[in-house]
Amino acid sequence: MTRAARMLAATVLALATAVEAVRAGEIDLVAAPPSAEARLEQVRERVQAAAVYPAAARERGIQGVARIQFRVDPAGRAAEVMTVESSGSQLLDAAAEQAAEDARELPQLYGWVRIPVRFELARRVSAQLFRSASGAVTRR
Amino acid sequence: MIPAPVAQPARKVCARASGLPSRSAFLLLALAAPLPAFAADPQPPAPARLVREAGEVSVVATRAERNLLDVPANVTVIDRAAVARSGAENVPELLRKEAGVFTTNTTTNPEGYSVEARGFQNGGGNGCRTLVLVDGRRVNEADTGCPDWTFISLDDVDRIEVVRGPGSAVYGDNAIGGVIHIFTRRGEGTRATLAASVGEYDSEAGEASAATSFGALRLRAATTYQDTAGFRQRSDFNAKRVRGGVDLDLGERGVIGLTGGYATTERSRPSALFAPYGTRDGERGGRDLSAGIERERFAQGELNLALPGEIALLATPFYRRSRSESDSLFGFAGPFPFPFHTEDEQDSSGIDFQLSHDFDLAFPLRVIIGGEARKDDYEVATDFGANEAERRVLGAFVHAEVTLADDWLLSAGVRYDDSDLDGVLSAPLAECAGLRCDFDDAEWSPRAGVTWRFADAGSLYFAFGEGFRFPNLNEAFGAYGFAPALKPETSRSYELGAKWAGEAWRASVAFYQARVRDEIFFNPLAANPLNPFFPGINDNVDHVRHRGVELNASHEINSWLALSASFTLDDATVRDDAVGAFVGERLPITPKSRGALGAQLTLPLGFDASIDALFVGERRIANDVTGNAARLQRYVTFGARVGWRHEIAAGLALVIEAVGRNLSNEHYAEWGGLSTFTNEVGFFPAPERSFAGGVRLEIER
Repeated sequence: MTRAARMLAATVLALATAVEAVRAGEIDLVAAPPSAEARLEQVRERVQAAAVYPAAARERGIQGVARIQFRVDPAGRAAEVMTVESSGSQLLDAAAEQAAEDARELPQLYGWVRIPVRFELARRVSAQLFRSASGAVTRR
Repeated sequence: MIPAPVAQPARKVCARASGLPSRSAFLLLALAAPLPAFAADPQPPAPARLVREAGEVSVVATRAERNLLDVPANVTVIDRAAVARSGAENVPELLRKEAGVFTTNTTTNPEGYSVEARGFQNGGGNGCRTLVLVDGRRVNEADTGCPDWTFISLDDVDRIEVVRGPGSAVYGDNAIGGVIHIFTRRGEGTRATLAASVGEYDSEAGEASAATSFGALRLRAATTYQDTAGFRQRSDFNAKRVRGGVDLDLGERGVIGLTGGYATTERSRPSALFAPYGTRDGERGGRDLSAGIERERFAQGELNLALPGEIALLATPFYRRSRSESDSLFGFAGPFPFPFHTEDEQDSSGIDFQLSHDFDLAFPLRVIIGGEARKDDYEVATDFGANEAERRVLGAFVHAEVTLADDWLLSAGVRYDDSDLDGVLSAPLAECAGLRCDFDDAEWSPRAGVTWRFADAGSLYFAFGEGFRFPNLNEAFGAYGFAPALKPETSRSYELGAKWAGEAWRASVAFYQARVRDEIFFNPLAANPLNPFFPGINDNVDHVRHRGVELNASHEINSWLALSASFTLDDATVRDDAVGAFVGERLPITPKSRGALGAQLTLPLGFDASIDALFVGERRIANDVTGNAARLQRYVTFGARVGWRHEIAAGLALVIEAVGRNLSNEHYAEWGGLSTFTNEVGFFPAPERSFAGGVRLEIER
C-alpha cells in the first residue's frame, strides 16, 4: 500500500471514529471547552467551598491573608500545596492549605495555581452578650 | 548525603508504538481535543514559571466565644445538662464537688450555705471573698457581703462559670477568692417546665416555668416553691419565688431586656448542740430559738447594643430591696432567757457597664473599658439601738486581651474603686464625730496573665492579680459590734496552672499563693469597747498567706461511662498580726484537704445514673484562732442519683429521678464554733441518710 493510501485509510478511520463518538454523545461539537480563566475560577470556587475559619483563630481574633500555591493533579486534587506568603499566623496558613487539600474535582490546569485566602472576622454584636466571669466577653 | 533529585528530561512522545502513523495520531488528538474528560492523561510537571493567579478566597466568620483554655485562670463551666444530672437541690450543693471552692452550711438549713474559694471560708462570720453574679448583677448583699443563696433557684440556672482567684481588676469589691457567675435560662422558641419533688424531713418542692417568643419579643416567667421541716428540730424553711423577664431582640443591633423577681423566705434556725457530734441527737434544736423572714425584690435591665464605630455596649442597671425580721430567744429553756429582735432594710441600686472594641492591629487586640456606680443603703434596728449606713461605690476599669502569636495570649487590666461610707451609730466611737462616721477608701486592682497554648487541647498559664473587699456594712455598722474604722482587705496573688481539654480527657491543675493584707477577721480575744456583753470585734489581721493546689479531672471512658475527680489543698496561715497572738495559726473552717470522686452512667432505655463521694478533711471550728478547741472531724459522704427520661411525643419529655444523700449514714458535724459568750463548743450535725424523688414534664418547641 502506498503511503498516500495509508494516510487516506487512517483519515477515514479517524473520521469514522469521530462520527461514532459524536453519535454516542462522547463529543459535544457545540460546547466550547472552558477557558483557562474559567477553570481557574472554578478552582477558586472549589477552594472557597472547602475553606473553614479555624476555631482557635476565631476565639483569639486572628485575621489575615495567606497566599497558597499548588498544582492540580490528574485526579482533580491539589498537589504540592504550599504557602508562598504567610498570613502571619500558622493557624491561618494551615487552614488555607487545608482548604486546597480538601477541595475536590478541580478542573485540570497546567502550571501552578496561586490563591490568596483572606480570613476575616465580622464585627457584629452577638445576641445576649454577657461579661464572663473570666473577665472576657462571652456569647450565650 | 542524599543527592538531590535530578529533573528528568521530558520524554518525546512516541506514537509509533500504537501502530498508527504519527500524523494520524495528531489528527486523532486534534479531533479528541474538545473532549472535556482528559483527566486520565498524564500531566507533565508544572513549570516553575507558569503560575496562574486566582481571585481571592474570602472566609468570613464571627468572632467566637473565648476558649477556656486561653483564659489565664482556673475556670470551670457547669452547663445545664450537668445541672440537670447533678441531683443537687440548690446551687451551693452543686458547687460542693468543685476544686478550689468550699461549700459549708452553718445551720444545716438552706439559709446557712456559705460558698468560698481559695481558703477564705471561715464559716460565714466575716463577709465573703467570692463574688456571685446573676446575669451580670452582683448578688452579694451589702450587709453581709455574701449572697443569700435561698433567693437563687437551681431551676433557673442555665450555666455557672466558676473562676478561682482574684477578679477585682474587672469586678471590684468582694472578688478576692473568686467569682461565680450564674447565667439564667434564656433562649428562643417555646418551652415550659412543670416539676414536683418530695423527700424526707417533710420536704416538698415545685416549679413551673414557661418561655415563648412573639417575633422579636421573648417572654419568660418562672415560679418555685420549697418547703421543708429540715433535719433538725426548729429548722423549718419555706421559700416562694417568682421571676420574669422580657427581651427585645434587635437583630444585629443587639438586645434590650428587663428581668424582675420577688421572693420571700421564712427560716427557723436550729442552734448549736453541745453534745459531741456523732451521737444521734439531730432531732434536737439546741438551746436557742431563732426564726426570721426575709423578702427580696429586684429588677435589672440588660442593654447589649452595637454602637457606631463597632463598639459593643453592655449595661446592667439594677435595683434591689430586701427586708428582714428575726426573733431569737437565747437560752430559752434556762433560767435567764434572753430575747433579741432584729430588723434590717437594704436598698441597692446602680449600673454596671462596659464598652468593648476589637482593634485590627499587628496583633488582634480587644479592649474593654467599663465602670460601676452603686449605692447601698442599710438600716438595722435591734433591742440595743439602731444603726444606719450608706455606701457609694464608683469603679472604673480597663481590660485588654492581645494575641501575641498563635499560641501566646496576654491579658492585662486594672480597676480603680472608690468607696464613700457614711453612717450613724447608736453609740459614740472614737474614730467618728460623735455618732456620725465618714470613711473613704480607694483601691487599685491590677491583673495580668499570659497563656501558652502548647497544643490544640492544652495550655499553660501564669497570672498575677490583686483583689480587695471593703468591710461590709455589718462589720462596719452591724448590730453585733460595729467597727467602721476597719480597713479594706487586699490580696496579691500569683498562680500557675495547666489545662487539658481533649476528646476524652479533661484536666486542670493550678498552684496559687496569695498574700492577704488586713484580712478582716472576727477576733474573739479582743475586747469590744462598745459592748462589754459581747466580747470580740472585727479586726484586720496584718498578713495571712493563702496557698494551695487545685486539681480537676474527668474522663469519658466510653459512650456509657464517665469518671470525674477533684482535689484541693488549701493552707491559710497567719504570718503576721499586730498583737502576735495568731502568728503561725491556721484560719478556721477551711480544711487542709478535700476532694470528690464521681461516676456518671448513661444507660439504655433512657436511664442514667451517677454516684459520687465527697471527702472533707479535719478543720478548726469557727472562732478557734489558737487551735486549742475540739476539731471538726473529717468526713466522707456518698450520694447517688438515678434518672429516667422518656420522650412522650415530639418536644414533650417526662423525667423521673430518685436521689439518695449521705448513703453511708455518716454522722458528722459540718460546722461548729466556739461561743464568744460562754466559751463552749457547739456543733451543727449534718443531715443523715435521706432520699428524695421528683418528676418533671418538659415541653420544648
